[in-house]
Amino acid sequence: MTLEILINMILTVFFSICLYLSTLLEDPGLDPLGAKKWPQVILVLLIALLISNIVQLYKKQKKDGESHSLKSVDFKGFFKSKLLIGMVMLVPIPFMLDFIGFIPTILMFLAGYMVLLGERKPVKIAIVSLVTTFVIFFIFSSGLSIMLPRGTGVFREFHMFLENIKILSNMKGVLSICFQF
Amino acid sequence: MFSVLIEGFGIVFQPETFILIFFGTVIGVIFGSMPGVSASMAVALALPFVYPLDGVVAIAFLVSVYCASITGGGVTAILFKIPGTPSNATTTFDGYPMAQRGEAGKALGVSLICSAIGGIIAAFMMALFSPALSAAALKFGPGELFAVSLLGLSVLSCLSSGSITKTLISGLIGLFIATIGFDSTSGILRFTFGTTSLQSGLPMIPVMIGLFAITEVLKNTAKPKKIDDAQDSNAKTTFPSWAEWFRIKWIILRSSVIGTFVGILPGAGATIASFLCYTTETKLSKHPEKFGTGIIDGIAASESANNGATGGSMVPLLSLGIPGGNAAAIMMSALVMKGVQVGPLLLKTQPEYLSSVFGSMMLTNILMVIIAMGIAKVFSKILGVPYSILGPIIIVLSIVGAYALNNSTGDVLLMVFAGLIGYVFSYIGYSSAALILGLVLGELCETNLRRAMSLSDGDFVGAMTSPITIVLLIVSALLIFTPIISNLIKTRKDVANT
Repeated sequence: MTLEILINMILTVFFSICLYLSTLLEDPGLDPLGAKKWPQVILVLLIALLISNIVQLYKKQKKDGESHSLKSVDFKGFFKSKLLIGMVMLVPIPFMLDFIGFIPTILMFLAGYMVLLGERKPVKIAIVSLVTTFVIFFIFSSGLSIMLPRGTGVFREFHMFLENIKILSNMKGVLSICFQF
Repeated sequence: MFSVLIEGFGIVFQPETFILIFFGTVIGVIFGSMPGVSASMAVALALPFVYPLDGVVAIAFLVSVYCASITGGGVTAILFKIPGTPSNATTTFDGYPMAQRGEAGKALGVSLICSAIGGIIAAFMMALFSPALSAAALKFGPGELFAVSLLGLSVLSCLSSGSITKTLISGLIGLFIATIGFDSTSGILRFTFGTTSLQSGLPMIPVMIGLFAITEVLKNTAKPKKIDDAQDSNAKTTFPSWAEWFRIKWIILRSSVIGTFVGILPGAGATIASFLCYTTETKLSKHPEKFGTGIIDGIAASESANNGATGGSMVPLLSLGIPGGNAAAIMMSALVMKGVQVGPLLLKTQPEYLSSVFGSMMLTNILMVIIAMGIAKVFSKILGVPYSILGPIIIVLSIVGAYALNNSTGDVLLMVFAGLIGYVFSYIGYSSAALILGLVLGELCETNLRRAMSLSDGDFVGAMTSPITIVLLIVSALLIFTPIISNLIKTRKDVANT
């Protein structure tokens, strides 16, 4: 519960800063309510409810006889957990997509996350990673003409080479011609 | 009415049109079930197929894609907690818990049938009352639309899974997030913290995918839980008993009618319709506490409403030439491309367009059940796959879904952060669903309040004086405060007893 109180406090501080920032907004006065009032009403209510929540949590903690100290929070357990590794694996994905493109990023991510979730058979990991990546790639890239991230340098060239294999879009073209008749 | 019916069936049962509608339904269900491919995107992707077609056939084809994509979105919402389209977000509330209990087949069955019924009711309402409904919708000014969005927000008081304070905080955070970016009225930047990527606001789809799908995978990473493999690997679409259908008959009817009407309102649409109907049914239910735990009532309300809204959005398009939503706008552009003069005279000069849309909606909603059952069967096989494989695949689909929206890795980053924040939220007991509700309704609420205030020269009371607004505001206030007051009374009684 100490962690919960801490998170609520952080949110209270953050939204208080936002409330302060809202007072600095320049309002051209195009409408009676302006750009400030609506977010300010929301933020005031939000801060009031967050403070009320902190008080409720504090009272409950006191009533239950729990410690208010941060030492009661199991930080060690969190740093050793699969959850943290999972979170850490997710964060670099958008940057990797820009740099090395869709296929290598997803291949590595799938294999890594499968291992994290307890999959131990290397052949299974390899097959699932490859099949999933390429099926999704061809459906979205060739079939739906959604250009997935290409990456840079050699990754970009490899990606563009695969994009030229337009299996599904050729099928779409054939169907389109069929409908004309 | 009968002439519309006969003419409509005459159009859609021509072999070429029938095949096209069948094809449209298949691709609609598939597109809809792909995360990140919204209903309007599905219609846009189908546009190249209509270039060689006649206008009447083209609109029938596009309508079939539109209706089917909304239904397809329910499949992944139930099986993987990834709403295929934003309007399926409420389907995850009860559909996913049912899938986790091993009742995926039943959840899918309810979803498909309710979608079809919602769509068919909307088609009838459209054919019967198109001009009258449009006239009624035109009476909804900014004040009325503000009251409608407030009515939608009243669900906050019953989305709570424990603490009302926490749910209200979550909803308010959603409303605050909706204010980020350019203010549409004055054009000034709000809460962008100097970054250009926040200037156009936070897009709803990546946030929604992150909060629902990524959070769920992270929860399973932290504490793996087993899905009933024995039932799910075999998950055939099954249908509830007659007694269950009988019990939810009013839910389906109410949600279809409300959904159709919300679909007609400009700026509203299937997403708001599904949230509003979910709220209404939670409030009207004798067991509101069961909503969100995996009951068919929640799925019925959500799916009847969003399919009802598809029919509704066609009403202003056909009778006034005003698109009710994004998908209708794309269909309108297709009609304009075909040289059709869209406007108030369309129904008088070319009534075959109404017949075509009506016939296509009827046929699609029937075909869709059969097609979606087949597709759902393929998808539900995936549930038999171990979570060590399924979890990473869900994340990859989420990544593609977020990216496909704007071809931007910034949206992927946003989705990842939404997922992480969603996990923290669920850890401390906050509600992701309430946050999404705030985000969905935030802009509609603020924009219409400001418009209404402008029209009344800044007088808030003056802006809310129309009878429709007053009724809607009273209902909203009752819906918001009744559970809070009854909760307070209950707490005091408990304290007095102890």
